[in-house]
Amino acid sequence: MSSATPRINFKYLSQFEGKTIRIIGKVGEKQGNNVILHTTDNGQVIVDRSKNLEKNYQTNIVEVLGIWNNNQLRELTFFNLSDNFDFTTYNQMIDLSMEHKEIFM
Amino acid sequence: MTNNSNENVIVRTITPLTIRQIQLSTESEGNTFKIDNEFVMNVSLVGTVIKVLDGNTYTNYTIDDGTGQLKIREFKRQKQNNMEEEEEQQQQQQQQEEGGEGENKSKAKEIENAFENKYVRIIGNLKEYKNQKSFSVSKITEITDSNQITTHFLEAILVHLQRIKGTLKKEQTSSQNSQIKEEKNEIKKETNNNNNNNNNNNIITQQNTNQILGLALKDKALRLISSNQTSSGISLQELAKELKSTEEEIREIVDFFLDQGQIYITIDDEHFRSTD
Repeated sequence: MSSATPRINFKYLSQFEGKTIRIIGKVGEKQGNNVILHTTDNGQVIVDRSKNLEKNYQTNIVEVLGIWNNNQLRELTFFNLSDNFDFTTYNQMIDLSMEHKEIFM
Repeated sequence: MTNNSNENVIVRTITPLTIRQIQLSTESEGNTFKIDNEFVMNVSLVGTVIKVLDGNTYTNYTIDDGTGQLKIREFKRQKQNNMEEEEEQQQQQQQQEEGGEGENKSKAKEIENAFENKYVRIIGNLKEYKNQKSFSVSKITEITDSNQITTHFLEAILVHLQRIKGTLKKEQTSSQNSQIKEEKNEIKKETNNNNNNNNNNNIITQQNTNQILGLALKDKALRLISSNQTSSGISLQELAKELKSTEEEIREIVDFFLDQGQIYITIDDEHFRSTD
């Protein structure tokens, strides 16, 4: 029944090795099939887009859903977010959701 | 709100939830579910649409909000005020899903997802139908301001904490209470910030502080009056001096106590004694 794909940011990544997670950030440089994602808490994540190349990010800020493995996020899908997305409040929400895991995962 | 097990409980609030909370809810009375010890009927969710199945009388969406997945249905006919109609539709749809002897044996078809790569807000009704959870959609709309995602989860946390730990109280008697108060204050602060309502929280904090200060002053005034044993009592001016306050403020306070009957005037209306 538990098919959670938790929302996290850069600082929690180490706790989710091998798991499917969601991470939000600003779209950065493209490097072949990879894209750099600048996370809401100022981290940098390499996103491997090879399984989802036909779809392009349509906004500057996206949420990537993927599998975190070996320092890379293998993208399964993504979601376009609005440009006014507030990173600070989002980070605080993530922290609170980690304190109250019972309703999140 | 009636609590007969055969009657439907009517709840008029909308509760922001996570799908995980819905998955974990097992308590129900009659047709109505309980989450965090409170009846819930109308529920709001924020998530993404994974799959869309198109049936004859309904559209079936599979929603994922990061905490779990849920199948929800939106009935195609708009007039749903008639409960019987809705139940009939539900029965028809159950038959369709079981591949039974309904009029139409064709199953729902998967169609293109109009909400692909987008976040949606869903308002719907959570009910029990034949021992299964059923979620019928009242409204499904695309989210254009992504901050609503953050706000929704903050609200879900807040409501969850309020329901399991009680609402904020002014008097904090234990450190646990003050810890919860701090946590909830933080969540409230962030929700307010997120709604671009920075002023709100500051005003509420200021009002609370003023109330507390006001109470302290009244308390001191009464004590001073009570401690004065002379027959003419204590004067307004003395009170103002002792309490380092203005005569107008003291006047307000003594008027209050005079109304309450806790003090009385002696030689003139500027001298007071306690009735105790």
